[in-house]
Amino acid sequence: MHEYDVYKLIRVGVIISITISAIGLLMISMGVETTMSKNPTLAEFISGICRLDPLAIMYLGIMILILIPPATLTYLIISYLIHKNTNMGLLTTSVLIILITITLIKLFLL
Amino acid sequence: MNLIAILYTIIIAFLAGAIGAMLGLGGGSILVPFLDILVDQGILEGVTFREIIATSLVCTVTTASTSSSIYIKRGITNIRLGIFLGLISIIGVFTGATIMTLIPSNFLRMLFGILLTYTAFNMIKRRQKKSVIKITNGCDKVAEYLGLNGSYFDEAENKEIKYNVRNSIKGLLLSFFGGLLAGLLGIGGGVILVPIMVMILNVPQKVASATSLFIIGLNGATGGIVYLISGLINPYLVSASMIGIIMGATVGTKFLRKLRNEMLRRIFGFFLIYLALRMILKGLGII
Repeated sequence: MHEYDVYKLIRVGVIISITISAIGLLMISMGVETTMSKNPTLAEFISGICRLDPLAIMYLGIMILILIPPATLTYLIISYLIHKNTNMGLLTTSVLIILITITLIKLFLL
Repeated sequence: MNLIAILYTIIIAFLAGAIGAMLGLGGGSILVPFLDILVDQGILEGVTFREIIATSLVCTVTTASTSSSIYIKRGITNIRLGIFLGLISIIGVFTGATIMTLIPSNFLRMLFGILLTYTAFNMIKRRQKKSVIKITNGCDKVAEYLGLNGSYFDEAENKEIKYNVRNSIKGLLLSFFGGLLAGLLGIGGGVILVPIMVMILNVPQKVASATSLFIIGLNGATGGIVYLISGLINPYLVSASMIGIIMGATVGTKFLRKLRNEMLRRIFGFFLIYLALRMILKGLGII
């Protein structure tokens, strides 16, 4: 496993997410109007991104930030499997599966 | 949110990030009471306490990920141990975040105030002591099977430090509470995770602090997903806080390191007690 790759992945992710959020915030500050509701549906969000809606851009930045740890886990799973570390590969996969399950439970059950 | 509110949020988050970095605290424990004050002053109109907690937890992803990446690069973070503890910790976050949406805001304020009091007292009484590194030859079958034992190069000692993880299952189960606290109160959970790693898992302090940041990132992401789906993420508040806190943490780490002394810790400790009491009294409806 290359620690430096994990470092780069996290750093780049944080920089991208903050930059995107800052752009959205700057657009709002400059008076660009948003037509989105505060808690948009997925369809509203995608449509907002296509229209470069500042609120959708801010949401995109936040989503990228939240997705950094799952992306790190995905990288680690691939890395462990390449290096034939099956035990850690399975453990990391379990963490990712729990995370996905939590998301699905929250989306459809709670 | 108007422009003034956004600017105030960035400034407050900047201060929280800088103070947090100076004192070795997660930004969340300072950001939450600060933002709550902005709400009281009428600057953040319509922002709920739950939104503040959600903002705080998402911001921990920013600060924890940034700091964690540096420790990962230096080889101090035990990623395998982080993943191992993360397995149960994220279930704790989900539980905490779900409970958070169900209990009254004032009760949450009181809980936060109690936690802040504990943090403050720890800051006041803590002395800068050299971390004791316990090198044990004890064998934990799970830790050995998963390769959780590790080593790192200690710059202060100028030597490679090896350590063996013990009581891994006990530590795994207890990590649930670190996650629970993170989901419930919007803090990273380091306040519980670091002692678990040091006292129960026999991990050196430096490795425990670095690895806890990795887990805090996972906790923050899990909580962030739950809060996002629950509609508790206020994009204006989160974006402004993210920007402020990362700038503050950068400044705090780079330029204010010289201020990291006992006297300063105590002064801020008393300030945190004031913030904690304020939150408890507000939670009780007295102020």
